[in-house]
Amino acid sequence: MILDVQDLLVRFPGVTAVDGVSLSVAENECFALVGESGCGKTTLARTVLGLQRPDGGTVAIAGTPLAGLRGRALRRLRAQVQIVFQNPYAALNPRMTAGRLVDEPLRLAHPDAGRDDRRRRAEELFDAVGLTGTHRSRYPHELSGGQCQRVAIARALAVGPRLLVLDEPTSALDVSVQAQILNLLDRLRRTRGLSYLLISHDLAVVRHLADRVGVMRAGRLVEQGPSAQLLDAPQHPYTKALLDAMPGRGRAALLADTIEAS
Amino acid sequence: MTELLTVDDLTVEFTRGGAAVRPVRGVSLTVAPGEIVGVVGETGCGKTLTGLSVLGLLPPGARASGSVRLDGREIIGAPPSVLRDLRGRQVAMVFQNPGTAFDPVRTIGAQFDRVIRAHRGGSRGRAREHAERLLRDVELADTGRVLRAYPHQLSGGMLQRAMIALALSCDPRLIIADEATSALDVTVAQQVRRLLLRLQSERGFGVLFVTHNLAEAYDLCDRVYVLYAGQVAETGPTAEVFDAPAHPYTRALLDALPRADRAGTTLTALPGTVPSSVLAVTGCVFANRCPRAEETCEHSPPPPAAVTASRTAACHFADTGGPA
Amino acid sequence: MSRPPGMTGVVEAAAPTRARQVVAALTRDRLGLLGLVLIALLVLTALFGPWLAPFPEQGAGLADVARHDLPPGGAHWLGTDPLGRDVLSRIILGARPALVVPILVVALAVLIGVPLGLAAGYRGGRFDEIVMRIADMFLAFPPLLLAMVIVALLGPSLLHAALALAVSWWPWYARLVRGLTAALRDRPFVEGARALGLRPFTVLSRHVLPNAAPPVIVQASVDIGTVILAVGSLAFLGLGPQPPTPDWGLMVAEGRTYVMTEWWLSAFPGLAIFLAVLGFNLLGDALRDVLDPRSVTR
Repeated sequence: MILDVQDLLVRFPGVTAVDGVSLSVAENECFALVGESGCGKTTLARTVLGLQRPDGGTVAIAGTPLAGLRGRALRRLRAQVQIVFQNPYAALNPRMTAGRLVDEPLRLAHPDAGRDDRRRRAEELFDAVGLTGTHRSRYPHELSGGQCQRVAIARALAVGPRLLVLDEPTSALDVSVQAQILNLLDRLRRTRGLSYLLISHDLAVVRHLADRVGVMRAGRLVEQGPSAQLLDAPQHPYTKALLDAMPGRGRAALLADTIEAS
Repeated sequence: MTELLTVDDLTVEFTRGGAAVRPVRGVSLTVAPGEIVGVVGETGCGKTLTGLSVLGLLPPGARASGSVRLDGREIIGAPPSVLRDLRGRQVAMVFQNPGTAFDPVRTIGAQFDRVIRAHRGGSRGRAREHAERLLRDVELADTGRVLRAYPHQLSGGMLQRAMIALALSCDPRLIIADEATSALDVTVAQQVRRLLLRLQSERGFGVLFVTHNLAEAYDLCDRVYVLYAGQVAETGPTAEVFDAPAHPYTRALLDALPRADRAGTTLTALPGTVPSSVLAVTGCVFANRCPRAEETCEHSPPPPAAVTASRTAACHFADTGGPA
Repeated sequence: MSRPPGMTGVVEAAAPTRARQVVAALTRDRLGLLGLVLIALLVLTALFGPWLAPFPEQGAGLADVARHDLPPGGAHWLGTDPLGRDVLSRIILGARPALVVPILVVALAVLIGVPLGLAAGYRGGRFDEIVMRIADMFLAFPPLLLAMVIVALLGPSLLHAALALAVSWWPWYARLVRGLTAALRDRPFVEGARALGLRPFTVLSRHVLPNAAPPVIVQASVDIGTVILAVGSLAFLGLGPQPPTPDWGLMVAEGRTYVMTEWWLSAFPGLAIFLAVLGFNLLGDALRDVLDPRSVTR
């Protein structure tokens, strides 16, 4: 297991954001966490990244528990897990060029690498995410949303992670760009043997990318299973409600829809 | 048939850094009374500015030309007093983010009171009764609590319902909804779509529904306009356009959608980007990304051509439904 | 060795271009340009004062009692004071302390306040509480009063006045930077930098500070103007430089007694203070617009 979460508990004043969640992501697997805002999926992701301390339970990355790690050891383990955010513009330091944004993690991962070596690695990364040399000197605001997301992915890949947390990676993008990024993520998983923890509310995206799905509500994992099975034959009423809320089934389905106003 | 809204050859122009930018370039569309019309397209296609033009709410520095007629009254160039009178009474807007559309330091009740009495006059008591009726209509149960609340005390879904109620307060004949569900959670978004559909069928107002979400437009709209780079690429009855797109751009958009039957496959992504300076393009603006482009497309811009009686597409090689 | 056209080369080439773009954008803003011109004049005067002044010795304090109290005109463009010293020369020689002291004050305040604010905003918790309560304590004193206490303890001099002002000024920067840092800390690009495994110092210096810097630069520019006024006030109260130092605030104070008859004694140093403050304020306002990274290229 590349990621193993057991009985995770995260409390904030007044709320229990993650309430006893257990899940695991296998090597080269894409596990999707589905749920609406405030369900705890983002808190869970931040905990997996070591950005949030859990109040109970364990998170283990490739067999090593995060708990108790501090300083250098924690930073080293963190490199195994990287994140791609929803809004690519917010995910990139606006004052650094694409080239520097990718060079920075390369320096970190390869402290002994010379300039030529790093440049070669950067070229390889830019190539892998579908960017060209002309993009390197650009600042994020000079790039399109899709190009920014590619830079963000290259930056995350630079430290050689085994697991990528994809936090709504395409929901801020246009349809045509979303397809490009989904294809890219698909290809990277195959060619680099990556594992994904996908966080999304878009069940179409989830179905496209994920092998297994977990549905979260109010901090709890209410249902999990293989994605085709779970999405075709949902067991939990909340999973059914989420599926019923998917647009695109025509006006009759919209009118027949029976979700209660909450 | 007399149209409720007629937009004819609408062009919106800015000057940015000394150069002219034209985000909307000759858009024509109509909305009949009681019709839900979708305006769909990607970021920067001009759909939001088109919607704002109908309210005369263009950002400072923007110049609109062409014609926007609401119930026969021209909006472009109309004096502010006429526009103020039209807004609310004839046309109302539902924005993407209800959290910022309401004034954060006044209660929802105070904001309803101001709008209702400004347009309809009457006492505070009458205005309050009217507000409560409207809130019940948008399925907000505890109307007293909602009216006493400040915007930050309500959830996004409740605020969007309140926004719709406020838009309906003066019985407008046209509602412009700009990404009205995009900031909402999936189940809440679905409720809002259903609410809009129910209110529309009960009250018979027309809706100009601006969205980037094709699936949502498919569910809600009678007809759609697909915009690309400030122009209408294709228009027609929703089911026809989505089931058998005539314009290569519409087809590309639909092909790019992840769907159950495409799981595990490589999606057909549209290559390239919108030309950075569309004004410099002499031919079809889509030619640089179009899988069907031929030499003609580089030189002459395709005019909107009839595909069927109710459909047009701006393409030299529009799919007319015949054998390909 | 010829540099290969790699990414590092491109990055290095991009930096000065951006700096030049900022200056170019500044000069397009008319009021900003006026601010730049005023500050440039002040800097040139401060640098070359002894060579520019028509009577440099008098500027430094040498009396020429025979030619006292002359109104503006003739050899003394701005008149002379009761000791016969050329007012223009004294203003010109006063430019150096007028510029150096406020810069010193603001630099000290930034050097103390910015790191504390960064650390407090980033770490949060108890540390944040302690730093901010200390800052509040300093803010609770009126700055001039605090300065008066310090000067009273250490004795009146320009350096002590500067020290006193810096001590009462740093909390503003600490608070400003703390707020900016706390907001930036939760931004995805900062969380992403932490997730990469960058050391906290690197995250702060490379990702937080550059994005918190523009408001600080604007504040510093405006503050230099304010400190010029504050130094003037201290001098006016006799808590700053002592006669015969050519100091604008001191000159205004000395001329106060004669203001009904010999208006030029206070008016011209006052005008110099006004123009210097105006220059820094205009520059600050212009920087506010220009330093947004998106405003440069669009």
